[in-house]
Amino acid sequence: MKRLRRLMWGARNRLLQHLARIMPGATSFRVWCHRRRGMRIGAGAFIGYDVVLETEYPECIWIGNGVEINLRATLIGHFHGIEIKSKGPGLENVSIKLEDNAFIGPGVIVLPNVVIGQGAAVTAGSVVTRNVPPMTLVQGNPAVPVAKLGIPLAGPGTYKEFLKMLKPYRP
Amino acid sequence: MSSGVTAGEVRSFITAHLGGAFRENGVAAGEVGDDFDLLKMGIIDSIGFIGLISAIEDHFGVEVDFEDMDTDNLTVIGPISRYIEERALKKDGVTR
Repeated sequence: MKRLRRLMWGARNRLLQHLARIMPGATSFRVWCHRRRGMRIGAGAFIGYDVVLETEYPECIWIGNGVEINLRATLIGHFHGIEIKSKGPGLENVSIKLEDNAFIGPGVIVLPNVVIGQGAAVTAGSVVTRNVPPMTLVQGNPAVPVAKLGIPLAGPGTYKEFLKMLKPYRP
Repeated sequence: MSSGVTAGEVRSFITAHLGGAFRENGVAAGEVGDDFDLLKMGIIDSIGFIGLISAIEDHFGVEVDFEDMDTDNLTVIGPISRYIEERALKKDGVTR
C-alpha cells in the first residue's frame, strides 16, 4: 500500500513537472504546477519553456520573489550520496535556493547545495557548482564571477540599463 | 600631464579588441560609422560588453563609469569612444 501511494505520488509529481515544461503560462500555470509539486515559489516568478526543476524532491528547491528561470534551465537538487546542507532556519531540506530577483539564463544547469544570491544573474549555458554572491554576474563551467551588477537583470529595467550598471569583477 | 587619449585611439582599440567578432559577422571593422551599435549588430553581448570595458580600463588606465551617459548610446561605437576620451581628460583634470 505504501509503495502504491509512493508510486502514485511520483506519477503525479512527474505529470505536473511535464505539464509545466510544455504548457504555456510562464508566470501562471507553470508556477502553479511546481507549487502543487511542493516547491516554494515566491510572487512574480517566471519559469520558461522546458525548464526542469528537480524531478524527485521538489521540496528541496526554494525560489524567491521575482526570480526568472529561462528556457531549458535545469535545477538538480539532489544527487546520489550528496548530503543537503541547510540554507538556514526553516530551510533545512533546501538544496537550491534562488533568492529574490535571481536570473537563470537559458540552458543553465544548477547543481545541488547552491545559493544564488539576491539579484544575481547566470549567463546562458553556465553550470553553477557553488554559491553565487548577490548582484553578481557569473559565467562558464564552473560558473565564475565576471561582473558586479548595479540592477538585477530579472527586474523592471531595460537590458541597456542593466549593461550600463555593470562593473568588471576584479577579485 | 595629459594622458592624451583621443576618441580615435579608443575607437581603434575597440575595433582591434573586437576584431574576431567583426570578422565572424562579416563586418569590415575599419568601415563602420560612428553610429554603429555593437550590441544591435551582434558584435557583443553582456559578456562581450563587460570584457570590452575591462580591456578599455586596463589599456587606457581610466575607470569607466557610464552613470551620466545616455543609455541608448551605451553600445554605439562613436559615443563610447568620445565618452572614454572625456573620462581620460577628467582624470587628468583637463576641462574643455
